[in-house]
Amino acid sequence: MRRHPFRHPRVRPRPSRRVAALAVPLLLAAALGGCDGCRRPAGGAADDGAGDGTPRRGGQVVIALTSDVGAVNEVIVPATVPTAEVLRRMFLPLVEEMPDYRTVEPRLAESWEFSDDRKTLTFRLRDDVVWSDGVPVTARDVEFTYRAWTDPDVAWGGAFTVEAVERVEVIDERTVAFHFERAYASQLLDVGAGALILPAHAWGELPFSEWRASADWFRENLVVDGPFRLASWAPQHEIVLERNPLYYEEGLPYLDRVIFRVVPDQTSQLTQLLNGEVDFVFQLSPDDVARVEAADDVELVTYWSRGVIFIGWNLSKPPFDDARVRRALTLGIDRPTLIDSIWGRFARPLASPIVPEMVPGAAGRFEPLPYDPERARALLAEAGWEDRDGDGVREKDGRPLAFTLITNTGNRQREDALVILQDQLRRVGVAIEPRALEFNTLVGQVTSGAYDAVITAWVMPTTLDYRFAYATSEIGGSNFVGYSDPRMDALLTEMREAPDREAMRPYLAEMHEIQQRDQPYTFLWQSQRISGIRERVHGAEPNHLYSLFDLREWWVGPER
Amino acid sequence: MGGTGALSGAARRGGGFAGYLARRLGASALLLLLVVTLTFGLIHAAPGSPADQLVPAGPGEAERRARMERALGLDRPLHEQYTAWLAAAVRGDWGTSMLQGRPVARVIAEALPATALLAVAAMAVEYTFALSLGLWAVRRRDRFADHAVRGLSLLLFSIPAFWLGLMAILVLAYLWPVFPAGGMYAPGTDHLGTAARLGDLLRHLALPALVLGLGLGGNTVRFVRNSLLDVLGEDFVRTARAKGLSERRVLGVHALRNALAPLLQIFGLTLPALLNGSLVVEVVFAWPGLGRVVFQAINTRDIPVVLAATVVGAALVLGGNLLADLLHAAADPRVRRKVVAGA
Repeated sequence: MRRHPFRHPRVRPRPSRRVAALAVPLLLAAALGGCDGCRRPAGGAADDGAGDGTPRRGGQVVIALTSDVGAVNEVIVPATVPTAEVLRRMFLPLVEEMPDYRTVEPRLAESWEFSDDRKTLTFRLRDDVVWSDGVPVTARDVEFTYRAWTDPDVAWGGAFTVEAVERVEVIDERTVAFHFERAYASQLLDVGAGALILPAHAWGELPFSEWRASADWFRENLVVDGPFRLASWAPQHEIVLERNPLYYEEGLPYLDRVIFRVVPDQTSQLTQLLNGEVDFVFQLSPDDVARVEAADDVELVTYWSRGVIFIGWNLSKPPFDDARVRRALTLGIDRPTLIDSIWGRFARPLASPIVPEMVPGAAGRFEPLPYDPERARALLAEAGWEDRDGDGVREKDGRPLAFTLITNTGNRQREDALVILQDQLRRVGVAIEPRALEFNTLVGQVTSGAYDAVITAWVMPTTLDYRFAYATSEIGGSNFVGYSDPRMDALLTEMREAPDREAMRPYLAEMHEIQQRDQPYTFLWQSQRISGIRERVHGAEPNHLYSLFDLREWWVGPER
Repeated sequence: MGGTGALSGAARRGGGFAGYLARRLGASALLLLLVVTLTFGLIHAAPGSPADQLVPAGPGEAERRARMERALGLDRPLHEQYTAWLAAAVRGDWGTSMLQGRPVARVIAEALPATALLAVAAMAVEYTFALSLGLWAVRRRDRFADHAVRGLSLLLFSIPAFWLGLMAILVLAYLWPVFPAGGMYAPGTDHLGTAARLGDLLRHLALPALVLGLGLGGNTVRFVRNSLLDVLGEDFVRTARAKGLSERRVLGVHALRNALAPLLQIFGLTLPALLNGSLVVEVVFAWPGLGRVVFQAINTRDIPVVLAATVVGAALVLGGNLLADLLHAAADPRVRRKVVAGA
C-alpha cells in the first residue's frame, strides 16, 4: 500500500540548468564506476544574465520540431516524439513517472493505493483541476478515457498496455478504481503515467466510430487541463501554445507562450539555433558539437537517452544459427573504438538491453563482452569456419563466412557503423557487405525475414519488460531475429509479475547471462541525446523521458 | 496526334479549337488515370504500411499490426481498394489521412497556397535571371562573358538543390544574416499588421525562391541564349539591322519577341522540375508546402495523401503543358494553324 503526499507546486528557484546538466552525467559517471567521456562538454561560458536566478514570468521560447504534431487527441495518431512532447504540455496524466526510474509523482491524482492482492488500484483525484472551460476534471473523465483506450473503433496503438485491466469503476466524483485481472510490476505506470486523461464532457459527444477521422473536430472542441493551451496551429509550420490561466499549479507556467516550429532538416535546425531563430533543438548530431561549442550564446545539454543500437542476427539462417559464431562476431567487434569514432564522448557500450540506471544496484554488473579478436578467431575455428584458401575470408563446407549487414539511410551514425564494422570483422576473417536501405524497405525485409543481419535500435521501456526482445511469443513481431529459449520465456514471465524493481534483479541478472551466452543481438551502444539550447532560456532539465519534461518551469531572462 | 474520327472531323468542320481542346483534355484525363493507377500499384507494392507507424513496439506487435491493417481496410484485395478509392475520388471524396485523421482534401488545400506562392516567385526569379543573362551573353557572343554565363548555367543546372539551399542558408542566413533560415513567417508574428506580415513573408520567401529559381534558371538561360541565336540568323533580323536599328533594339525587341514563343514550351516542360525542386527546397527551408506533405506521406505510407497529391501534381503538370501549348499557339501563327488543322 502506497501513498504519496501531494507536494505543493514548486515556486522555489530551481538549480540552474548548467548545474543540472553537469550533475546528470556526473551521477551517471558515478553509477558506471567512472567514465572519462561523461563530463559535460565545456562551452557557453557566458553568464546567464539572470540576475539573482529567480524565475521570471513572461516571454516566449521557440522550439524546433522535426515533424508536425499528429493531432490534439493522442489516441488517434502515432505516438511520435513531437506529438507526445506537445500534447503532454496540454493534458495531464494521473501520475507522472520521474526520470530517476524510481519515483512517481502525483498529477491529476493526489494519491493512489493498491488493494492487498494488488488487483485493484484506486486513484484519488485532486479537487482543484479544471478543464480550460471551467468544468472540473472528475473520475468520469478517467472512466471515459479508459473506454476510448480500449474501444476497437478508436484502435489506439497503445491499447495493449492496458489490456490487463478488466474494468474501471467510478466510486465518486473524485475516486476511481482500476480492476486488473492479474497483478504485475508496471500496473501504475501503464494506467497512470502512460497516457493522458481526455475530457469526457467535451469529446464524449462524438461516437467512437468517428474518432479516427475527426482530428479537426477535436481541435475545434479542444479543452485542456495542462499548463499550456493551444493558441494557433498552422499545419506543417507552427504550433503556438500559451499559458493556461486555469492551470492548477499556482504561478506556473512561467512562459507566456511556447512556439513550436516544424523544421524537418537537422542542418537547418542547427543554423536556426545558432542564429537565434529557435531557442531549443531536441537532437543535434555529434558532428555539430564543435560548432555549438564555438557559439557563445548557445549551450549543449546532454543526457542519456533510452535508445539502444544493436545488430540483430537472423537466427534462422546459417551461420547465425550457431551461438558460437554470434559470440565470435561480438568478440570481434571493437566497441570502444567504434563508439569513439562515431560518437566521441556521447555514447557508451552496452551488453544487453538493460540500461544500468534503470536497475537498482546495477552499476558494473552488466558488463559487455570485451573486444577479443583472438577468442573470436578460436571460436570461429571451433565452429568449423577456417580460411582454407588464404583469401582472408573463412569458409565452411565451401561457403565463405560472408553476409550483408543492412541499416536504414538517413542515419549518419548507423551508416558509419556499417563501414567500421566491415573493417573490424574483416580482421577475424568475416566478409561484410554493408548496405543502407530506405527505412520502409528495411522494415519490410526485416519483418519478412529476408535479411542476414541488421543494425537498428530500440527505445527501452522503463517498465523493464523485455518480452519484446526475447519472448518466443514475439517472433514475427519485435523478436524479428527469431530467438526462442524456454528458460528465457519463463524468466520473462516471472519478471513481469515481480512486485517491484528490487524483486526483478535476480531475473535481470539471469537474462543478462543468457544474452551473453547466446548473443541473438549484439548490442553496440547507448547514446546521449545532445540538445542545443540558447542561453536566454533557464530552468530546462530535459531527460530521457521527455526533453520538454519541465517546460512549465522554463523561463527566460528579460529581453535585451 | 491522330485523334478520333469524330474529333478530327469536328476540327475539319471548323469547330477546330474546341475539338483540339476536347482532345487534349481527354488525353490528359487518360494520362492522369494512368499516373494514379501506377502510383497506387507502386505504393502498395513498396514495403512498409501505415500500420507500421500506428502500432508501437511491444508485446503482440505482429498481431496488433495485422489488426490495424484490417481496421484501415488494407487487408482487402487490391482491386477492391483501388475501385473504392477511384469511385470516391471521382465523386470528390479524397478520403481521410491514415496518419493525421483529417480529410485529405483539407491537408492538400492547406499546403497548396504555400507551394503556389513559392513556385510563382521561383519562376519570376528563373525568367528574370534567364532573360537578362541570356540577352547579355548573346550581345557578347563568344567573348568571355558569354563563356562565363554558359559555365554558370551549367553549374547551376548541376548543383543539387539541397546543397545550394544549405549554402544559401550558411551564407545569407548565418554568416551574413540578411534573411531568415527557414519558415514562412517569423515566430509569433500573427499580431502584426498586414503590411508588416507581408514584408515578413517576402523576407522568408526570398531564399527558397532564389534557390529554386536559380536552380531552374541554369537550364533556361541556355535555352534563351540558343533560341536568341537561332532567331538572329533569320532574315527579319538582317532587315532590322539593315534599317539601321540599334543592336539593343534589334535584340531586345525584334529578336527577343520571336525567341519568346519557344520559351513558352520550356515553361510547360520545366513544371515537373519545378515541383520536384520545390519538394527539396521546402524541406531545407521548412517551407510548409505540398512538397513537405508528399515527402512525409511517402515516408509514412499515408496512401490516401500520396494518391491525392499525385493527382494534384500530375494535373498541375498536364494543365501547365496545355496552357503552355495554347499560349504558344496564340503567340505563333504557324502553331495556331497546325492546331486548328488538327495536325
